[in-house]
Amino acid sequence: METVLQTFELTIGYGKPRRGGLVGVRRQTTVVASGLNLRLRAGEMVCLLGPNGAGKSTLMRTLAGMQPPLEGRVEIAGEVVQTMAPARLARLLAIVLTERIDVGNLSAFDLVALGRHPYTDWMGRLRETDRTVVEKALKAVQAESLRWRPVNELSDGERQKVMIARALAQEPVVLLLDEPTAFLDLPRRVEIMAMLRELTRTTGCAILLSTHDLDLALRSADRLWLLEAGGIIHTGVPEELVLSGAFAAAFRSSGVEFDAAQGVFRLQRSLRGTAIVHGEGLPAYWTMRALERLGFETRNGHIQSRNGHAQLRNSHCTLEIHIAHHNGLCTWVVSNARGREVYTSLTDLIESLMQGHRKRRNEKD
Amino acid sequence: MSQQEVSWNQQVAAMPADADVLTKAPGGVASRWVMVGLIGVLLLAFLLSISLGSVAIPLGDVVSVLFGGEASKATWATIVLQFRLPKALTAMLAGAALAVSGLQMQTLFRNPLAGPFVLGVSSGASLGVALVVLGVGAGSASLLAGLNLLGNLGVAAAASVGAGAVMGMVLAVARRVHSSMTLLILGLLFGYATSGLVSILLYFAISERIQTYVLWTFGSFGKVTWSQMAVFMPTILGALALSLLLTKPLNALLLGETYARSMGLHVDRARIGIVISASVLAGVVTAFCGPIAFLGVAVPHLCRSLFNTSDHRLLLPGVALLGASLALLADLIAHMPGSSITLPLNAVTSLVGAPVVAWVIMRRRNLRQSFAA
Repeated sequence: METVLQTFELTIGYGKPRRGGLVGVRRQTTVVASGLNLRLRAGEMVCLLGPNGAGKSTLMRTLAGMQPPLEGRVEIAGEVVQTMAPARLARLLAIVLTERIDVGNLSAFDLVALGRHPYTDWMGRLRETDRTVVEKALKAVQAESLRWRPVNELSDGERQKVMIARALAQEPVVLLLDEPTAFLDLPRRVEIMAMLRELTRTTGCAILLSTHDLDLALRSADRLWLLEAGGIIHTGVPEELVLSGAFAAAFRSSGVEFDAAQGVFRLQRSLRGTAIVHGEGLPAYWTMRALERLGFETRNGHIQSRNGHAQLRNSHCTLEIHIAHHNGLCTWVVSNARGREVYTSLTDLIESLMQGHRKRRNEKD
Repeated sequence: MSQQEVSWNQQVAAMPADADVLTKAPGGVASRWVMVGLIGVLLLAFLLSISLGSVAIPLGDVVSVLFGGEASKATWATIVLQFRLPKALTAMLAGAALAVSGLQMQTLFRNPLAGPFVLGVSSGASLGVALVVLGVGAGSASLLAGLNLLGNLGVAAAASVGAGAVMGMVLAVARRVHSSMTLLILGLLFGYATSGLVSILLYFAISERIQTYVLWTFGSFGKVTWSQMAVFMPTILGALALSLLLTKPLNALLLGETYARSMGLHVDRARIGIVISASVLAGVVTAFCGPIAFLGVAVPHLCRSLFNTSDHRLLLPGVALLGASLALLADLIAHMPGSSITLPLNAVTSLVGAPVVAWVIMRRRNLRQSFAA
């Protein structure tokens, strides 16, 4: 695939004195990351991940030419971003920001049409081709029906779609999105990510987006740029970064651990013991989820252990649960050292376990 | 796609390219009629303001005089050509200028309360006038007589110098400061500082001169003579033409400076252009007519409601037309047709204008929406 954006020994950070700034006062420079050699290829979606403060925004801003690099350079389509005329850059690169903008009273069409700015005449008049591009952009984000709706009456998800359409109307080679899903609910996040992925396939543009949605990024990105605090960057396909342990290392922090088997982060809790669940299908899966939430290490009595441990039947086991199906209803039979109890709903089971836990803790005190 | 939309698209495809501003949205046809309506209102207000006054002149005679014919009474031709026509032209130009200037400031600073005078231009003009009227050779009768001889031209020149000086300072700051918000605050501070100086001058001035100064602050469209018009009209028209060149940057700035820059706009350059255009418009009007309150802030809001859009390609001509009409009507009311009483112009614009704008704004469901600049 063709490389559309490339950095050469790029050092990003703050503090380079501005030209024409205060003479003789050289502020101390803060290097966020150095020696970056990154590539973005046409038609791929890359997610930029990293803990807060690792410098994701600084990197995005530098790539977009909104902030000068301390050293090195960024090239888009073989041209250096930092020395390019703004009007030229606007035809190669478009951005979507996190901040919710207040455009006043514009229809979605008018807002998307603003994206034609680099192409229109001095009055900003739309030619027939501009109109076609705007319609295509609206269609690409499935927002044609919003065309004449005022932007300030749209929901956050619809508004974000229209903002993405506006960026597409610039017909960019590279599209940078800074946390495009930050204010959206989960279904909307999944929808936007799937849509962006689809866009790289249909338009052939390269998309780089920063996000905190690790799970979604792992599932939808073609490649990841993983920025660790301290300025180390790992790149590769998501699965590769999980296998190599880079993913877990980048987000290592107290109280949270990365579960490589599941690809999710879990709260570290004091272990209450092991629970062996005998059962199949969704009831078994969600019973185990509930038990894990309470701090049990769970294993499935039928298949292999969930956390990669070898099957150690009955060794320091505190609970054993058999799930039985009767006419579409489930019964949970819980056996432990004290005896055996039967529950007909998961809520009863979990709440009784929580109460038992609380009682025992009080007795200890 | 509904049938209506299909036929709509065919319609759009058939439109010539230069008509697209007014026809692209379903509301576009309405916008066109609003524009036609505004032109009609302006024409009517223009004729009325020439026809009505302490002496009422029939519309037929007004039209005949304006087209170089004779009036039923010889004095009417003099009244129309020497007094009411220059006054009406001044009101139109001043109203359009203030409204356009206010629109530019509101969009640039993304602030619904911004107006033509937020950058301290009128305060600068006031200081210039105060220095000439109050300060120069206190007690020197000959100078005061000289001032009267010079008449309004001296006041206009002083106001121009004051407005220009403040504008120069604001521009010098604008070239260094890269944040519009900082510029706005500095502009307000300039205003406070010059007002302070004016207060000192007023405090030590004699009462007749204070009255001269206060009369100037009331505002009036009637002081521009034909010879001054030769300066006033071309300057305003030139600055209005410049503002027309700035509609595309203003539209880009609706999204904020970061997006505007990402769409290829030279934001610093555009900001300087907007500041120059808005300040020249506000400064020249203040120099010749005094500090006219209210129109500059209110007309952009009224226009956003009328056109139901933030698109400056519609708003800019819209505010110019509406500003001109409202200035004519305000002047008409100030002259109390049929009587010889004349009210201060600023009192009329504020007293009549404030309730109208309040009504328009309260009528809208979403306050924030109508205020979004």
